[in-house]
Amino acid sequence: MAKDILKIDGIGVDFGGYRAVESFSMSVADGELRVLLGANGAGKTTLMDLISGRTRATEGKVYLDGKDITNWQEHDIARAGLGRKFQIPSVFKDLSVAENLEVAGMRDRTVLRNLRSRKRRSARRDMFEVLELIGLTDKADERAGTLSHGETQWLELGILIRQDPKVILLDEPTAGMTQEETQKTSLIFKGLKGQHTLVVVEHDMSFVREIAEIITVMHLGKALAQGSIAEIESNEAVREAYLGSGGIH
Amino acid sequence: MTAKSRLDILAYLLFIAATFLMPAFLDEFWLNRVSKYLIYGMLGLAIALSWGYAGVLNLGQGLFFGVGAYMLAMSLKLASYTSLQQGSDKPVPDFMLWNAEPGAPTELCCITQGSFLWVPFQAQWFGLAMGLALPVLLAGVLGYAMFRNRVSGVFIAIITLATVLLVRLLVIDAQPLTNGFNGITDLGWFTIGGFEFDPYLVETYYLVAGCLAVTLILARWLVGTRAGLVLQAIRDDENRARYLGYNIAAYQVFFFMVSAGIAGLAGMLYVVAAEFASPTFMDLTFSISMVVWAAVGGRHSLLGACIGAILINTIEATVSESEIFLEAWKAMIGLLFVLVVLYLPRGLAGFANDVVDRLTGKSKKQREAVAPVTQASQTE
Amino acid sequence: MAEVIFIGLSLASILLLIALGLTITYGAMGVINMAHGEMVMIGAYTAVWTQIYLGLNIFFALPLAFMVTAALGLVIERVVVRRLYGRLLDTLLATWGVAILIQQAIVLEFGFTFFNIHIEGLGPGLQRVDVPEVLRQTFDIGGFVVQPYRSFIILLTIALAFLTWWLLFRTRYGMQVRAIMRNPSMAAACGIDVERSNALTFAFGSGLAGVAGVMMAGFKTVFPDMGTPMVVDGFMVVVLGGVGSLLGSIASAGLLGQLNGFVASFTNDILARAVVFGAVILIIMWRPRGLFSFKGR
Repeated sequence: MAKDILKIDGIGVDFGGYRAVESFSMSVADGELRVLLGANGAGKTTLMDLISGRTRATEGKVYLDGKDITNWQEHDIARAGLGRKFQIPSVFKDLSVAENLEVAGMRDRTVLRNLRSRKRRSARRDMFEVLELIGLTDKADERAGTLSHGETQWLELGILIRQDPKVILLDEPTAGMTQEETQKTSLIFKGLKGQHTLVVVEHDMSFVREIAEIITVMHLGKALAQGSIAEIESNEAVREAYLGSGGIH
Repeated sequence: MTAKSRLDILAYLLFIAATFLMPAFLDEFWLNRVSKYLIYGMLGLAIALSWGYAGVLNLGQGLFFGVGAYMLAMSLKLASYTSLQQGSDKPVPDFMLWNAEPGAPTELCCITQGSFLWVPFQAQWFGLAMGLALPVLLAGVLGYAMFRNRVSGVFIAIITLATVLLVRLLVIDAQPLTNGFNGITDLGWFTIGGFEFDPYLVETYYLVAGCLAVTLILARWLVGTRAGLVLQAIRDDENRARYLGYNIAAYQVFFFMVSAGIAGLAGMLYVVAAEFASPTFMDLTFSISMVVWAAVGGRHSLLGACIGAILINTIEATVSESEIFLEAWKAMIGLLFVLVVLYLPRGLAGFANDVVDRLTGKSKKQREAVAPVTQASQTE
Repeated sequence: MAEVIFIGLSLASILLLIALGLTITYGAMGVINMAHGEMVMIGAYTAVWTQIYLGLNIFFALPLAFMVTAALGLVIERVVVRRLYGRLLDTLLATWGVAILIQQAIVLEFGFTFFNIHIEGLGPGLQRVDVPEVLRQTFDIGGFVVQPYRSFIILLTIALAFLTWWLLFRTRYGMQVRAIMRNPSMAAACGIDVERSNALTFAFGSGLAGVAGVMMAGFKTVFPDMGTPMVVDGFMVVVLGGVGSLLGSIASAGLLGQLNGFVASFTNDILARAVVFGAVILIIMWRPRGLFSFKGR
């Protein structure tokens, strides 16, 4: 068993009386692909906000590779090795696809160290692999704002690959995608597996079956169950929680 | 290097060459005027840097221009004969004598309340250094407070606007220290190594044109660096950049300070060329005018914004012979501005860009790829 | 002390009077109308013209100014603002251009200056409006000297604030405006005529500026660029109060007015204004969304 790269210990947040996430704990091993399941309002996105520093936790701790990153600033958490993909695809619309990847791949993050000229050619070579993986080689010089919804999602995945963080959080990476696009996305995922640790929030069960190893189910801000697909699908507590929607399909 | 960026560099070189050739065609009167417009061009450039590249609309750029101007003006005032003719061998600005309490000692240290602040300005290098350092420092403090608290969009506009008006009022109110509404006039000449820069000398023109050329080249280099690219990325999507590990505030503050430094330099040059500093530099209208120049020239192009400023002011000067035409020209500027915002959001530079692309036969899609219209400045 | 509070209240009511129109155009439409000050100016000129050409006092000018500026607002919305929805900072810039145009229209006497024709009540010079006798005589209530003109402004402001509140929260139109405020595309999907509603809102906001202008004409000289500092004040009140919050605008106008009056009572007007600017800067840094704000889309 590999070591735990992401460890969440009893995290929670209190929004003026409303506890969106409550004493949630979870450990993710290095190189694992973890899927987070849960109904709307179960606290999945809030959990991601807590891990990535967007929302300040009122209880508990988050450890990334053994380092306590609880309530750090977002950019410090990102530098510590956490990447995040948003539900609504977010890329730099006015930059070209290649420039998007260039920004993602810079080794230095501080202003003063980046006061040097861009090395366009060698940078292009470095990002060739990523462009191939996300299938945007032909569109490298196009403005990211002109891409289709699916292409934008892939570009954001490409940005995360270039960023090369230890752990990547992905919020519904196939939302709004066509069947075909979803399939291509799962191919990209398979390419990521093993090299990166992924935590994925996803509703699309066919996609989850395709990619998942271990699933954690959230319910009302708490961890409800954890296990393989088969274990989750036969879990009593999960069935109970999902009874209204007729179980997981 | 693509044909496109080669053309871009050619445009910069042509422009700089043109500014240096001006003395061959113009008399000293017009040279002095044009040197002022080149200074306005610097302001347009500073606006394009913060607005076009960083997505930060600063409605108070006049603050940095004004502070830069006052700092050098204080030194030049002390070098003026009007400050030395007061029966004392130590310089005291004439307006301080008028404002002094009866019986106050006629020395810079203590003639009026706060007049001791003027003491170090007896050395011209001090005024010069402060003219650059103080705007940059102010921008650093203001920028840090704003960007650290994630103030954005229209709220930046309101804070910068309130700041420039606040400082303007303080300057006006501190009559014994700043000569209030009247500003600082009757200045001595700016001197380097014994050479006196009389505003009507061709050397003074070259000083201004040289500063503009260096600023243009430096700013162009800056936006082409990795930091410049990150800055544009931040303009497009702050959160994305933040989650890639970039300290957004640090980038914004840095470029805000650079923009302020350029405006401070412009303010000092203006004092050299126009021989006065006045609170009108910090009027709301002046700060917004700079934005107008940049918008007309093209907010996404440093050179475009610079040329926009020079063009508008040159036309204004040629029509200002008659009062009616000047008023009509102001109306034209208003109309022009509405039309530019509505139909030409990338300004003249964007228009030129499209023309070049059409001539080189690029498709519409590719055109958009090289010359984007920013949405960042348009959504809150 | 009572006098300081009264002056503060009077300053606050002027601020609110100017800001009311901005509050709804900014809040409901996402438009920063920099020409709002020019609407105030046109309102003031309407009072001048009412006096010169109709021989009537400011009471008659109030409804006239409302109509004139509302009509002008409608035109501006149709021609310029309509094309810029969703581009907040661009509305600021374009309306600044409009503001210059309106100013120059007055300076150049609608262009007649070119033909050497001069019209009374126009042009670059100063104009003034007489205040009716009723509003000039101060009177005494229990040792407290009441200035009727300022009191009238306070009452009028309260009435207009109430009218605005009533329109926004108690009418069908107001419900539509509030729906658009929260989510324009959803409102459109629900069958609300967003374009029409926006046009009406802009006209109403401009009309309020016109009314404010008439009142300004009563104690200030009237000239073509009198509106510029006013739009700054109004803008600050609105932003400080929180976008689109009527209550926020009232609170921030009250705060800034009292602060201005209080500081001015022991220093001078210039420093008092500077303190107000400083307060605005600090409060926005502290609460970047304004004092009262809801989460918009």
